[in-house]
Amino acid sequence: MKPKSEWAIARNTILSAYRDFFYWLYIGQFPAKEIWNQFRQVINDGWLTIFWGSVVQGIFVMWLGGFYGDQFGGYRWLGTITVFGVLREFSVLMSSVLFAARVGTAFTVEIGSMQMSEQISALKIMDIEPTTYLVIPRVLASTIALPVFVGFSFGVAIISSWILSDVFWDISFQQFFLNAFNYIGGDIIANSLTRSFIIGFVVSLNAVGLGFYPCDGAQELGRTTTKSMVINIFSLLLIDLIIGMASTQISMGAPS
Amino acid sequence: MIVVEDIWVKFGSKEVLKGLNLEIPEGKTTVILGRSGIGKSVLLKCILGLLQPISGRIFIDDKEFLSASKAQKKELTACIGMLLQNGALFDSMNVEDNIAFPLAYHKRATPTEIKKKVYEYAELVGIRDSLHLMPKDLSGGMRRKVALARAIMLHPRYLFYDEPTTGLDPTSSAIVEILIRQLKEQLNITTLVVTHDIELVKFLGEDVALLEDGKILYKEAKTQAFKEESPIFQSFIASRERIQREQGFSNR
Repeated sequence: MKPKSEWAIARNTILSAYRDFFYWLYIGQFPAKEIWNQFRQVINDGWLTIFWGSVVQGIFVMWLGGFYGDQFGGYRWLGTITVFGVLREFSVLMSSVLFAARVGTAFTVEIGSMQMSEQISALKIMDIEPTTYLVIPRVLASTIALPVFVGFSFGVAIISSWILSDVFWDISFQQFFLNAFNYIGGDIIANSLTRSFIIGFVVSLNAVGLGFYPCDGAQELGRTTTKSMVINIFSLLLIDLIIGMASTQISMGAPS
Repeated sequence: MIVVEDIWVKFGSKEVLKGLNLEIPEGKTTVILGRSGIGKSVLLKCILGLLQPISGRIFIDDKEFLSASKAQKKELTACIGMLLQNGALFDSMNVEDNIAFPLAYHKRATPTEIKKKVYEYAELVGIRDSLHLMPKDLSGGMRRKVALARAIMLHPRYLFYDEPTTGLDPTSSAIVEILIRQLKEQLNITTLVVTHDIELVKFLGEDVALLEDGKILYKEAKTQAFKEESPIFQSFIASRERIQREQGFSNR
């Protein structure tokens, strides 16, 4: 029999994680306490990374808007461009990537090393289902935490971009925000939060699922963690693209 | 009693267990002796349902295990505890939480009762003063003591030990050996030990089985197994001296 490739094993490991997740969510006890503990842990682990990422992102979007606004004399639109860019796309994308890097890889390594040191076997011997104890709390906590991070990122990115636009282009608070929210409806924020909700679920379940990849040693665990990151980046880009395109088509109609 | 009948286990193209048969009688200490990588841990994991054999039957208290439903399997293995190699302690919890974990998770006692029981078992295995420590702060011997205390929290009738003294210095090994025997005698636990440590076999074993080539080749009472004419003695215990002699390094 032809041996399976690493990626085929990774795919099967992730698929069985999805199957087990829904099976045990339906049949097992709901681990409310563990979900709350994991939620606090995820927020604690990720908030600083998201904060600095959002500051950089806000500066970046503002700088592009300001630079080209300067060339085309469009300063009055700077706030609108920045706020729209942040709310519609950049915060979701940047927070998701940082989330996959900071929290997702931590999940893969944590579960992977638990597997290697037989802690998962110890759970099973104690009649504790690893999916209920390890997977469901991490996934549900992340599904809630990523939209929270994205909301946090909205605020940090917009404030940092306004501060910098005041410093570089002398744009006041009123000028910056004057037009900004006239063009941005709740649907854009709802759309971004929905995407982050789905991405949070998929990224965390991929990452935790890959923790169960059969690793024999540190090198293989390292390779699995890399796989987790690669798979998650592609997954989140794909989800962002598909939902982004679908929602744009629904709200604006198909491009002619 | 646990009965293993004609168990076959294969990893890829490698056959690890090839029609293994074994009886683990209640109330006794059975030791399975075998070289490293021969499939001793695999056998324990099959009995616990952590690995699925490709064929064979396992009876736990006269009930067939492998063909049972998930719920029935859980019920059958609930009476079995196991000390894994290196203890497998949860490194995010301190010693006290590690020991309390199985009872606390299953909510089988009140927090006060759990605390009382943790102190009782910690005293029994001699780690009463280390309850606040994290697993990373423990030596190999201490880790196994903690794992032992955790393993008996759910009152198992059978306790499996996977290489309990591997990697320990002689003093720590002796302490762990004594603990295993004490637990067996005080709590009347049927004990199954897999090891390649001859001293452990001498100290603990009542029945000794030799695992070789995927099968239990011989099973004898300990008194018999250590006689020079015993096949177990010849094929495992005397093999070290024979190999040394063959290579010209005999110290006799």
